[in-house]
Parts: sequence; structure tokens; C-alpha cells
Amino acid sequence: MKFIADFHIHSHLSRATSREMNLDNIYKWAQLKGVTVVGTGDFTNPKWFKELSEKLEPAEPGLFVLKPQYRQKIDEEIPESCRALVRFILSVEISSIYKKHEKTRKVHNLIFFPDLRSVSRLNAMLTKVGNLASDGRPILGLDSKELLRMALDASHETYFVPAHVWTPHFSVLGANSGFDSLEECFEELTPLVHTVETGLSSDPPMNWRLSALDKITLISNSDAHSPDRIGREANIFSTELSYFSILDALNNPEKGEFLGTIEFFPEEGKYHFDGHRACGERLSPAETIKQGGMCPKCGKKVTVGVMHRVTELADRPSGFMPDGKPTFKSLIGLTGVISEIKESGVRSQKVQQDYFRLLRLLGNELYILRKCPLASLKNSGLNLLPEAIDKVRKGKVNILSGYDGEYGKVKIFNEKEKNAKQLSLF
Amino acid sequence: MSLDLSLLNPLQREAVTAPDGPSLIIAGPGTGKTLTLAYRIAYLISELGINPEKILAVTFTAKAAQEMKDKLFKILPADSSCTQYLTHLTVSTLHALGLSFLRQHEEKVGLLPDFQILSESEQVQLVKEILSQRMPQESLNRALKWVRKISEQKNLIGGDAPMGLDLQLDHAQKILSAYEKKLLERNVIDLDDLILKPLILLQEFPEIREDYQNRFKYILVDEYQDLNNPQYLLLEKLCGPKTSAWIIGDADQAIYAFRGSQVKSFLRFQQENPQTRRIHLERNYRSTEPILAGALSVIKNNTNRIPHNLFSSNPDGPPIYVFHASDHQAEARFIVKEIEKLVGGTRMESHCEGPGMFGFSDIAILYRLHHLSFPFSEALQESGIPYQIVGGHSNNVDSISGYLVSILKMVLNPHDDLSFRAIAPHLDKQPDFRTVFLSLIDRYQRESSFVSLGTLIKNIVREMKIKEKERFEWLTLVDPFQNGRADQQLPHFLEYISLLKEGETYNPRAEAVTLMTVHAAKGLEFPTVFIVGLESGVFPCTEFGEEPSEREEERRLFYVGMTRAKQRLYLSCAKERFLFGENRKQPPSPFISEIPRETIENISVRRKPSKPKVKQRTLFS
Ligand SMILES: [Zn+2]
Ligand SMILES: [Zn+2]
Repeated sequence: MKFIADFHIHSHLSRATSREMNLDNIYKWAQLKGVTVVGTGDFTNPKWFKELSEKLEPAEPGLFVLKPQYRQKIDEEIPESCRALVRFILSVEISSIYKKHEKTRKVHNLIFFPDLRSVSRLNAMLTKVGNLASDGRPILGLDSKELLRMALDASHETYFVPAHVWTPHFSVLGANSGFDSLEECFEELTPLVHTVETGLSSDPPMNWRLSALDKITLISNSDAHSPDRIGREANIFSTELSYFSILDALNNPEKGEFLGTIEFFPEEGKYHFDGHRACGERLSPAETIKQGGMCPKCGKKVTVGVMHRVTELADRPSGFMPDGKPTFKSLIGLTGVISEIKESGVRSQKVQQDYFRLLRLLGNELYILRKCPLASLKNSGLNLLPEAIDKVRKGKVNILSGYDGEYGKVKIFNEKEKNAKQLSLF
Repeated sequence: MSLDLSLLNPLQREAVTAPDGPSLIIAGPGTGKTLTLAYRIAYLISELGINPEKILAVTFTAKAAQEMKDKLFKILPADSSCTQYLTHLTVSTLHALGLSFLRQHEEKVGLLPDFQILSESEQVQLVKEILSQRMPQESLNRALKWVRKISEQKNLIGGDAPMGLDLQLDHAQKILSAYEKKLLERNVIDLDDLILKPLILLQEFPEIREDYQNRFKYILVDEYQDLNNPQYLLLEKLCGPKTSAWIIGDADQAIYAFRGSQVKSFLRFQQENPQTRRIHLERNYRSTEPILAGALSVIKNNTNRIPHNLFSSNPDGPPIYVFHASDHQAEARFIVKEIEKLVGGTRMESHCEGPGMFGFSDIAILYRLHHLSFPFSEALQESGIPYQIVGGHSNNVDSISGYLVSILKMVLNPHDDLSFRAIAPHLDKQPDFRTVFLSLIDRYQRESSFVSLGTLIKNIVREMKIKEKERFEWLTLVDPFQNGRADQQLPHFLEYISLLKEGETYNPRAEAVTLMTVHAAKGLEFPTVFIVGLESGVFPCTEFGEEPSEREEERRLFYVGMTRAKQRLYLSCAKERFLFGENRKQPPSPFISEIPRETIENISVRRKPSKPKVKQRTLFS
């Protein structure tokens, strides 16, 4: 079957994460968004692990489902147009902070298992290394390579994916505390890393500029810290619904069972460009080089973003397209689209009301953004919606790039366009 | 190929190549003391062709002894045959050396073969027994204090006056002699006996003394300043007329007066050997100029010291940071925040700017007393930052490891009633639990004949439900004893444990912030050091008295703490602190005001500066 998967989210037990991130809401929002397989996140946290053990039961091989007694009530709250099955995949993100070759390294990695026994084996090992209880995404003083080895010790069926690999501060290839190659980090275990997460600030074409990543499958996930962000980046599969089929699809992309990713416009990500947030200085890689790497306002070092870092490590020109790669589609969240049309905040009542009305009327969000015929959108009550969605699908949007932790800003219409449209309505 | 001395500075080279005869090397902190000692041994072996059998090197800890051997393997010329003989070299602590003497001659000092070394918890049990039988007027709760007093009393030999003992000597003598009698009856000794009995051996049997004197032609002593009087005497006995003694240390770093070592004994060696060559190592390779300047101006206030200077090789560095907190929690919060900055942020969400070049293992939090560690370990726990607490578990039965030691001793000898009595109060009160416990011990004993020691300990910690953190530490300790059957390794392991000193469980490879006492940090260095709890009464600590000599000892300890730092040193104090069961209000430590103002930067915690207004660029209009 064809389905969408979002492997990387966090529970309410992670720092800076919404209280709403409990199993009920994850289950609910996966349906509203159109995500079939969703990561549990945070399985190393003892409270979350207990909750997973109590509320989930095995479904298809290696995947889990919310037990009927917990899901019945939620199902009633979900518009009929969005109701769909949801499966959980056991996942965690670990923050490894350690020294290697005399440099401090900070790397985030995702780990997956097909069963709770393997999870508790890894948890038992990690308890000895550090503190699993204080954060759903624990900080461990553990070498990434060692972590991979421990995951394998817990179960040879584990799947290990370096997370948001370009993020400057916390990733395997990041400018600030990463490495220059996967090999430098994982050494002889590198062949066991088949897949990396590209993160919000990069898209597949940026990654294609590195021949070193040719054999690596690129996935995208939401890294959601609140339920309404689930699925903002995700992966599309056409295979059997099972842990092992998903792994197989990722490890053998030539089979064509991994169809590709749903992406942010990378400019929208928090670390696309360089800059210094405290001073409000946003710099393109070329500008940074011109400024000698320093903030033009305060003279401190700027945070080097993803675009710059990719250029640094790339061995191919921008625009290079290797053969046989899965496709990708860049999208903007539906509330973002409505917000622009309505000229009202993303979380405002006006926007939220329209959002849920559209879901009830048309179906889940990813369906509306990707598939819904423009003709059906005409009856939505939002006159600009068909054209807005069409522009998003075609990538005809304007973006002010994100930098140093500040999200980029997207505009679908420029003022002229918009004024013209509004006027023509009367 | 000959030994490469080019890495050494001229004074280090002078120390390494000193001719035969007594040498005293005064090596300030960070001046390459260990390196100089290692090169001296290598020089004797490879350049002078001395047979390693003839060399005795005395270190302060078992770990230092092991590290010294590793170092020698590296610096000795690879093509020489010397490395093969290295196994014949004796590098040892004085306690381990004393034990080897006793194992060779136990009958001479009234011991039977297989004598055992008592742990502190067993000493407490033994003293309790004496108090309840002979001195019913003494409270049993004072047993631990008595154990300490007995030790103090036993070490008063060679004309030392008792150090402010408040007890009537007669009463103390009775308890001491009852204690000694019990040791003899049970064929056990305590840690002090590992020095005192060999001393008797060498004093009373000239032929044995001459044997050892003839064997060790070269005696090298590290951390000389921390020898107590009996240890000094033992070394003196080992030195014959033809022995070349080469000793290295730093009187400013003498921090074990409570074990009976004193600065004044530092110069005794030179007084008793007037022809002694004295070399000062003053080039410091560890700390930046501001840290060194601060430390030196503190130690200069000691009157009882040998003038000794230090020069930094690293003139550039930030000032010493001083932080005054409102209470211990604010102090802990500040330090956690600062650590996050030092590693350049631990979380993506809480973006913070800082130097960012440090890892967790580069950072140590040092304190005067273990009791001070709690708010810091708690704040680190809460923040999710990995940390390790070093020491603080003595073999005292109240700690989990003391409990495990007693269990292991019972596995070795199920009739060990001292160990059983030490454990008994910790057992479940249910009537049948005693039987369950004893049958478990019985099973472990059977197991020990076919499993490894690691497996045995794993089983015990699992079934006796010992905390995970402790368990990890134990399994690290047991590593060198993994070969062969548990029952064969167990006696060696227990002996090894009983000789461990505080700080030897520090794992430098752990990617974690280290929490330890200043005492335990002796000999270590860290890029960043926080010294916390700097309040009058806490550091300098007045819990044990306020004699001027004690003030100077506290100052030396503070000096040792400061000179552990390579690049950054933070000093902090709290106006109010919960300690020893009460809220104490104490002024900052007088030591802080001994640091020149120009090397200090006071840090105050401001509320976060509000975000500067970001001017929107107009891309879309
Ligand atoms: Zn992450
Ligand atoms: Zn700036």
C-alpha cells in the first residue's frame, strides 16, 4: 500500500515540547495530517516507555497500534473525511555530546526497534551511561559510533539514522560540532548507516551535491514538538505496512518502494542561511565569506548555516541531479497558506476555524496540499485557495531565508499580486 | 638509540641526570613532576645501565604506579632491551610495598599466613564490640570517631606529640590495647599496620633490613610532601649507606595533615642529609598567567613554607571568575548555565552563546567536603548533563560499596562474623530474612568456583538490588581481575579495594562533568575548574579546629584546587547554604580576598537582555 511516514517526533517529556504531545494527540493529529506511520519518539524516557508499554499493542510486524479502548473516543473526534489507520514505530533521538580528535562533537541520532524488548535492552545499557529520565531526548556523553554499536547489541534489527545532518550545532555534518564525513564519525561501522535525515533546512538537491552521499538514502521528518507540526516533513512509501518492509525500502531505493519525501522549502528552515540572530543579521554564504565569517554588526563569529556548510563539503555544482533518486515535493503548511490569504496569524481563531472546516470538507492536510483537485478547492469558501495551493505545488513562492535559529518567512503572493486578486473579486 | 631528553627543560634535565647521592626536587603544580620522575627512572635504566631490580619508585596511589609503568614503556628507547626488564622494576605505593614485606615475613611480626586487611566498617564493628564489653559508658555511636582516634594514636611514633587529643590518655590506651589484641586474635591488620609492622620488621631484624637495603640501590619517591611520620621512617630504614635517594614533591601541596603528614617534615630530609642537591622546577606548563598569579598570591600568605616561584608558559587567558550566589541552589543553577555555555549549548531549543570549545570531560566541580556535592549533582541531574561523582563512597558500611565489600568477604569466608554484623542492620527486618541471606551467601560461594568475579558481582548487585550508578563503578574496578575463577581472584580483588585511595575511581575517559573533593583532585588537571562552597567555615573548613597550622593547610588545599585549572577557573560562594542539617549564613571565604583584584572578574547574573529590535528588511514589498 501507499502510505506516508513521519519517523521523528518528540513526546511531552522532551524539553521545549508541547504538553499536548501525548499518544492520544499524536494518534489524532497523524490522521488530520494524513500520516500513517508515526514515530513514538523518546522511548528511552522511563515514563514514556511505560506509557508505550501500556497503551500500544503489536500490529503488523514491527509496528504498533493504540489499543482499542484508548482510540475509540478519539476516533469520534476526528472528521470522517480524515479517519484512517495509524501505526506507531518505536523511535528515539539521542543527543551525543563527546570529544573526538580533540574537538567537542554534538550529534543527534535516531534509533528504531521493532519490539519493546529490544528497547528495554538498550535502555538498560544507556542507564549506566547517563540520565535518561530528565529529558525525552537524553544528552549522553557517548560517542555516536559507540551508540550505534550498543543499538546493535540490543538488537540486530535496529535501524540507525543520523538526524538533521546539516544542523550547525547538533549533527553529524554540522558546521559547528560535526564531522566532515560520515566515515570520520562512524569509522568502520559507516557501512551500517544506510539513511540520513536531511532536516528542515536542506532538501535533496542540496545533498546531491556530495558524491559521498550517493549511496545514502535521504529521509525527512517533522521533528515535531507539538501535534500540529506532525508531517510537516515526511516520507512516502509504496510497500507493505511493516517495520521490515520500510527498512527494506530505505536500504534498497532501486526497488522503487521508497517514493520520496515531503519537504519544507529549505529556505524556510531555521539554519538555511548564515547569520547572527542576536543582531538580526542574515547573511548568504557569499556575504559571510565577504565579511570574513564575522557579524557585520557586533564582530562575533556568525553561525554558519546549512547552505554554506553544504557548499563547503560539496564536490559537485549546485543543480546537479544524479540518476534514479526518489522524488521530493516542497510544501507549506495549510495553516500558513490560510494565514496568508486571511492576513491573520497562523494560530488565530480565523485561520484555525477555516483549517478545520477544510479538513472536514476535503480530507487530511497532506491530501489537500498535494492531491486535491484544484476544482474541488474552489468550493472551499476561500477564493484565493486554489491559486495559492497551485503556486505552492509549483514552488512559485518567495522566501526570506531562515538563519541562526530563526525560521525563514514564506510569501506565496507578493503585495501587488494580492491587491490585484482582492480587487478583482468585486 | 639513547634516551631522548630534548623534551625536558634545563632544570628538568638537571633533575633527571642528577649524579648519585641525595636529591630533593621541588616541583610546583604543572611543572612536569610525573614526567621528570619517569625520565629519571628511564635515565637510570637506559643511560646508567642500572638493573631495574635495584630501583624502587614509591607513588602515592596504585593508579599512579600503573600509569608510571605505562609511561616508561613509551619513553624508553624502543630498540633497547631495557623494556624487557621493566617487570623487575618496583613501582608501588608504600602500603602495597609494606604488604609485600609482610607477606614475606609475617611470622616475624606475629601474623599467620593468610592474614587479612580490615575495612573501615569492620574496624567500626570491632570497636563497637570493645566498647560494649569493656567501656559500657562509651556510646556505640562514637565507634567511628574512635577508629579515627586509634589510627591517630598508632601513628604517633618517633617523638611526635599528640595532636590536640581531647581524651584522657589512659582511657584511650585501654581501648587501643584492647583493639590491638583483637586484631592479633583474628589474624587481621588495619591499613596503618601496613606501614607500622614493616617498620618494626626493619627495626628489629637487621638482616632483613640489610637485605632490602642491598636490593634497592635507587629509591625514588613521588608526592614526598604527603608522607606521614611512620612512612618517612620506613623509607629512612630502607635507605642504606649506599642508597641514592631521589625525592620529588611540593611542600605547598601538602594536604594530608589529617593523615599525620606535615610540611615541616619536608625539609627534614635535607636537614638529615646536608649534602642534598636541591632543584626547583618553576616552569608551569598547565595554567594560564592569571590563574597562576592568583594561586601564588594566595599561597604566599602561608608563613610555614619554602619560597618557591612559578612561571606560566601561557600568558593569555581570561581572569579568574568569582560568583556570589544568594544560596546554594542559585550557585548550582549558575554553574549548570555556565557549563552549558562552555560546551556551546546542550540543546537546540535553548540557544546559548559561549566559548563552546569544551567537552563535559574538560570540566570539574571541586569542593572541600563531600556534603557540598548534593545541590550540584541534583542540578546536573535535572539539566540532563552527564556527570560522575568521584569517591564519597568510602568502604564505610553505610555506603553501598561498603555493603558489597562485606558481602564479598562473607563469600570468601561465610564465618566472617564482623562482616555479617556490619551488614545485619541493613537487612530486611523480617525474621526469616537472615536465613534467606545466609543461603544466598552459600550459593554465591558455590558459584564462585565456576564463574568469573565480574559475573559474581553482577549477580550480587542484581539480587541485592544495588543502585545502577554504583554498579557501573564496581564493574570498572573489577576489570583487571576478570581472568579465572571468582574464588581465586576474590582475595586479590579485596586486597586491591582495601588499598584504593579516594579519587582512584575517577575515570578520565568518561564524557562527563567530574565532581570531586579537592583532595581527590590531587595530581589531576582540567581545562575548566569550578571551586564551589567558598565560604568562611566551609573552605577554610573549621569543622576540625581552627589552629593557625590548620588555616595554612586549608590554604594549601585551596592552592591545590586553583592550580588544577588550565584555562578557566571559577570560584563561587553562597550567602546561605544548607549543610550538616541546618541553614548556614556565612561570609565569603577569606581566601577569595587574598587574590589580587586585577586578576578577578566578578560575575553577576543579570536577567536575559531583551532581544534587540530586528529591523525587518523589505524583500516583499
Ligand atoms: Zn535533533
Ligand atoms: Zn552580531
